[in-house]
Amino acid sequence: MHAHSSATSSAPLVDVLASLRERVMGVSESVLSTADGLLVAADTDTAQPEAIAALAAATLGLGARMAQQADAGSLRDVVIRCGGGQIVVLSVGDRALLSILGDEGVDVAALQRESPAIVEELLALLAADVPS
Amino acid sequence: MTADGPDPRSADTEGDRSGRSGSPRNVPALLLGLRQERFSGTVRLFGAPGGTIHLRAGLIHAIETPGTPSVESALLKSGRVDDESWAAGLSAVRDTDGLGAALVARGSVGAAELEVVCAGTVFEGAFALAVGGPGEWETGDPAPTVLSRYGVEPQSVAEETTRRLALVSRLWGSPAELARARALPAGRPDVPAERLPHRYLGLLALANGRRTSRDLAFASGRGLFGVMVDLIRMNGLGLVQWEGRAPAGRPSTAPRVVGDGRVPAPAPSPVPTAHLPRRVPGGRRAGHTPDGARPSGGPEPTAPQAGL
Repeated sequence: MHAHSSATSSAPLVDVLASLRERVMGVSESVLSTADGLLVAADTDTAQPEAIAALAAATLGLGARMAQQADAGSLRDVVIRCGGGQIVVLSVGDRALLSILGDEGVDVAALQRESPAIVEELLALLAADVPS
Repeated sequence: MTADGPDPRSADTEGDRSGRSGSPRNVPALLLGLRQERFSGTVRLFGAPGGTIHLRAGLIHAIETPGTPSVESALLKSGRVDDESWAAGLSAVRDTDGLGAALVARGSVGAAELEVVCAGTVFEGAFALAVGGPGEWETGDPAPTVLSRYGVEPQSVAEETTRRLALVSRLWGSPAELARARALPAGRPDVPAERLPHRYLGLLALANGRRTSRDLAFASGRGLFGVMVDLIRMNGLGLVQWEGRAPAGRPSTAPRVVGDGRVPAPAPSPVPTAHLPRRVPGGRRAGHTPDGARPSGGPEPTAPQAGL
């Protein structure tokens, strides 16, 4: 799984994202973006991946500012709860963000259980981006 | 959550009413025990999916699980209650059990209509928990949610869940496997769209190869069991097929039902009859029963001798 071409190596990332739907009941779509909001990979149906990617950066930035202002310690993730669904944004290392879209019944316990492993798998794949 | 659980391990544990926990298999029996104690509180299940069973005087008044839409989802998704009324109902609640009454008092939903949705959701929740398989459980204090006004006997819930599991198993196969299957519209339906029920059309519009039965249930605000049964029937009509790893629709259902019982029976019968007359005449009786006695094996009939 070497990065022979950085533009075409998103398939393994998409596989990891798609596996989220298998692992966590209620997850419907997910988007991986750079920390500054550029789309990296997406497993989406109706959501606009580029828009989600950009908003993820803004969302997590706002969350971090709020956490700082409230003196609540380091930010874990941002959860947006809505009448018909939930969105979770969390950071993947220092340079990437993961946005997870689910319906209102998403298995939050399973999501919390699985997301560290997902983040780790994504990090391993993204590590190839950095020339050593 | 099936009806055939053995004695509850929990019922004879320490006497205080909350904070107990235990192993999975005996949840229906646990609920029967709690019914006898007239327990009020919650039973939290840690499975995949887990869920929360809300009990009042031992009767099941609500089940919440990620496996099927809650009363809230069912009311909001179906349009019976709008978001504003829901929020207003929430703010009017005085105690943990009052949300349903608050919604009715505000005229957001009819009392009977609400009760139908609540009781239906109890059965759907039990089915979803049963499909998800067993997990650990613990009891706890009462928690706020929309409760059925009258509650349902745990025995009825267990019996109905057993019936539903048996129905899905008979029509399709393993309910857990069906729960993982993702449906998408098939190319050429055998029935014209205008003759299909609204339920089917609604599911067809939502099925995209990414959604499981459970996802379709949430997207449409319907219960898991109803969606599963509709999908099985739609699969039979050539309306939907299964995406990805799940076996392709029609070929897999037919052999699953017929094959187990009938295929092994006719096959062995001609083989032994061709050979038995040549061997020891007294061995015929024993030679009939084990159909594994193949001609190509040893000619010496060891089994009949052992039988004598």
